[in-house]
Amino acid sequence: MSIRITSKKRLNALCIVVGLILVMDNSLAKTPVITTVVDGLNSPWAFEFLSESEILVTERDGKLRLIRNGALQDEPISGTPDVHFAGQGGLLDVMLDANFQTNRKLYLSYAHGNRKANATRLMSAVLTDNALTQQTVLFTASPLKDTGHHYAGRIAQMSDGSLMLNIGDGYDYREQAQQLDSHFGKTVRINQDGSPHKDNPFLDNDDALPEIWSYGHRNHQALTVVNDVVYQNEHGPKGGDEVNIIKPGLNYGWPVITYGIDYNGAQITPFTEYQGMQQPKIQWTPSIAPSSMTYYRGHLYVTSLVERSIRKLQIEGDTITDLGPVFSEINDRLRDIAVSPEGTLYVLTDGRNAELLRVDDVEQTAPN
Amino acid sequence: MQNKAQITAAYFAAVFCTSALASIFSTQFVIAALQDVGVLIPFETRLSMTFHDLAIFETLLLVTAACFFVGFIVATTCVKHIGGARYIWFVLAGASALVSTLLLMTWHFQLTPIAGARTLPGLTFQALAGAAGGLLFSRLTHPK
Repeated sequence: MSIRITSKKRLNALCIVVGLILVMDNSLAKTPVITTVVDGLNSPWAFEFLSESEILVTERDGKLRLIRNGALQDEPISGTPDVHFAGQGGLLDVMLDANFQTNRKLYLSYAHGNRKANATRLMSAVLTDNALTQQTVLFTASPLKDTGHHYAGRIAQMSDGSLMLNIGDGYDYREQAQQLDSHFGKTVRINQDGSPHKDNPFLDNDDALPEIWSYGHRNHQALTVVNDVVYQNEHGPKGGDEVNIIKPGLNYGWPVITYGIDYNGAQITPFTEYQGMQQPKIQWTPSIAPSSMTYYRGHLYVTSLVERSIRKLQIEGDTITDLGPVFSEINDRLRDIAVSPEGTLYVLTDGRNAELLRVDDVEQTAPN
Repeated sequence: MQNKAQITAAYFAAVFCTSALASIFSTQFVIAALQDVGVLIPFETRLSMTFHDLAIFETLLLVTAACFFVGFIVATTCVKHIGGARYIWFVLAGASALVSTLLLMTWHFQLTPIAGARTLPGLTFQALAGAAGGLLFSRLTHPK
């Protein structure tokens, strides 16, 4: 019996073979494409997308830079506040209001004051052309401090438009993370005019500052809100970095409980657990120095400074699992991570001559 | 006059004494600060934390050795040229050397290197640790 292969069948077979080759080629594309968008950034801390082609970047010395079509604009945005640029302080986070497309409002966090008296501050402003106008101070942490460390500073926005802000423990004032009459070591929630949010848990406590939403934090530099669930990561001391899900009124333990020790080797506390204090969802010992976090296609991605990595975390309700580092091609101190409006992952490196990197082909390379 | 070996031995004894006391004092102030925010710390926990914290001995040894080296030279010079009670010069040298070093480090790093020295009472006890080292050095190098 003979089989006749017509020219139509040959064409079909050819198409199938070519299709298979393309599919195999695609599945073998294991290497993500890392592209440097810009370099030459000076100690940047955060970035935010105005659009797919326009990105704002904060530099700690007080400049708000604009990247337009892949080029870092020479002239920074004017109208930024005077910042206390020392130690870990300076201009920190930038976040657009949820209604930015109509109101052009954005938020900045920064170290305010001087060496002897400084604090984490949050302001709003309106971005018009290349300038900030209508600058309004919304919140200044209290009391003032004389250290140059642990400002925290990350901002997030809830679905009702209210603002969340992390405030670090000020380093030398770590026990105040447990005191409700101090903003050190807290996450606060305020309205857009700076007033305390109506759902804040300590409004009825005369001894507590009304802006406090959660307490017992150290230097929690990430704050990511997904459907009003608040995720944070936090720098531990030597060990004891944490990922937490933040709920109102809860005590996250610092410095009474920690898996870390002081940098000189001394214990900060004898406890890793204590009644009424929350255990972290994830703790990293030794430290990776987690700096920021973003939510992308159902997972959290955490950047680190010391481990020089991006870690992928899996969320299952109240359980978070560390899936380990991804994108090993990136080996740098990483400061911030965010997703562009069209869904591409971007990463900011740290220090002088820092870079903004674009990470393509994430879906094929990131482990499940 | 003491020979060099005796002076060196006295110097290291003083450094060890001050480092141990500085560590022990620091731990007590760290514990006190935790107690101030309502944390209950049983005596045995205090004891084990105090022993654990001797881990900072290595760091303290380096700091104390460096500052005592300068401080004791200054004290010796003062004894020679100004006179007065010898042990007082070394007590002052030990205390001021350690405290000024801690303050200098705090100013430079904008944070306190030893948690137990963050408050004035805590810093005062660090001065006592330094003074004890100075006194020991004075006694060992000039026994009566």
